Amino acid sequence: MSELVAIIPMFSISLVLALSCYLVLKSGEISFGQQAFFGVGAYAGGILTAMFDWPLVAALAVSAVAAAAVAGVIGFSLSRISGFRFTLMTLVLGEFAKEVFVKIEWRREVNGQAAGPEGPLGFSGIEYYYSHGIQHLAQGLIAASVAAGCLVAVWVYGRTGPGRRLVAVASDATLAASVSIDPVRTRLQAFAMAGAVAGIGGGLFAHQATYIEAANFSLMVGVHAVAYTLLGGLANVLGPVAGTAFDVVFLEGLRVVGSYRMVVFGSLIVVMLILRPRGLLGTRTRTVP
Amino acid sequence: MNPVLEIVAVCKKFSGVVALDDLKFTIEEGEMRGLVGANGAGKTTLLNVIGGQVMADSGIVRIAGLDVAKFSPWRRAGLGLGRTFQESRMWADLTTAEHFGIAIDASRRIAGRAAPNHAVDDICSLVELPKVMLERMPAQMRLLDRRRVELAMATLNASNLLLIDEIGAGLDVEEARMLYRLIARLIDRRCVRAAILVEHKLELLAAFATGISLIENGKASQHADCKDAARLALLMSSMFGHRSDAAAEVLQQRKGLQ
Repeated sequence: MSELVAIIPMFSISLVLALSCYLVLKSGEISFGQQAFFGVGAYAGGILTAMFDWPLVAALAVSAVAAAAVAGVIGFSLSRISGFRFTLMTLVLGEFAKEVFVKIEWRREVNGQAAGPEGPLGFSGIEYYYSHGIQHLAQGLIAASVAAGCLVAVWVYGRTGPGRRLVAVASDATLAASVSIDPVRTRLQAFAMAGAVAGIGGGLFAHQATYIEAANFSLMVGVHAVAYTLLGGLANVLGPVAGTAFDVVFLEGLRVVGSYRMVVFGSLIVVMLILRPRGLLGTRTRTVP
Repeated sequence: MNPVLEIVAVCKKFSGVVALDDLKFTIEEGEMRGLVGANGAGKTTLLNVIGGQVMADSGIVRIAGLDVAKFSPWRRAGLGLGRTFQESRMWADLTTAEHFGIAIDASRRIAGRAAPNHAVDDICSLVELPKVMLERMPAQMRLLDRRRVELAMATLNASNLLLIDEIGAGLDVEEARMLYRLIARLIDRRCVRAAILVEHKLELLAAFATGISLIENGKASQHADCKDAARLALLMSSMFGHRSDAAAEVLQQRKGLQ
């Protein structure tokens, strides 16, 4: 039971990051830089609760807005490129962001103690849960409900105009433009939304971990998130859920394979790419009956 | 009333090779204009320059009086320009109904109330698409039905002008004839104001188009009204060179198709 409670926040945070990757993947691109927006959300949320005593919900909202704003600015140029150029740019931006996080140094006195990020020493003392007496179970509930909210938001997005236009643009942008869909704008919207979702995930992560540093937002975090999203499949929002569940519950949470986790995970991706290239849940593309 | 399309002095070079050379071209309301010419004469480039898939180096492209030469394809589409492509293009993971839904939604978003008010049912009957096709994926449809869907999608946008690039390619003459009859009907019913068609089967154009333009060396060198048999024969003979028998044959086949 206690193991399960411990898994919930980890699962929820991973799922939120996977949903962010899912949105980008739906636009037909692979981003290895979602961990940067995750980091922006983490720092923004942590600063607001630890340094300015904001309530968690408001801090998470700002995490989303801040990450979406950064994604929007970057996406302005990113939405005009595609394929390996896009992936390479996101990879570079992710590494750039990591270097920026190392430089964030901002101390402020709160209740007689200095608080805030200390540059290369990281950002400790994000103890909102502790100072508000929020126990493990409640933490899990908060994380799970935020993840569920993100899941519903992404699902709704996919069922309405912008999400449907995104699928059209990803599938054939020239055809989409010929029926008056603006491909750049459509992809920019999706990228900003992916940024917002990653930001919320980062905000959750900061409060769960209580200590964050640039190394938490390394390339592997982003690559891993893309991998387990692909493992689940892009058919619908349940794909990221399945992928995350597989990764977190079986490989990490239950520790069935111990320290060989990443080895097993990597092999699994290879096997999946051969057997089910469209992921655990597949996609809806049917062949001629 | 402004012409549906007016092209003035359009030039386009592809890495030094002239594709369109000071081209002048006008389409009036109700026209169904065929474009003919040898491969590489510039027919598809002309369609792309009108649609915005290719930007002209210089010159004016006016749609219903507005110069759109610098506009991106989606903005031109929003001004009532519909298009089908040489190769059949549909979104692989979406059903026909979803295609229509996205196209209707997009044209309403951009044109607001000015958007043509089509219901999916009307469109299906206009292009004679069987209702069962609405739930099919592109891979489950034969080429003729896919072409119907593409035509319908283009029409959803095209209050002004339809650009049709070899819609009959890969189909037999009977199927192609059916599509041409549909296009003629779309113009008759004023779903679109005019259409431009690139086509290699000359007899189809001679049978259904209102006029034919010959594109040669990046210029629209000759125009012929399809009612004017003598002028049509002249255009064809300059296209076929010495083989005036080929022109006569086309005119003969034209009667059979009508």
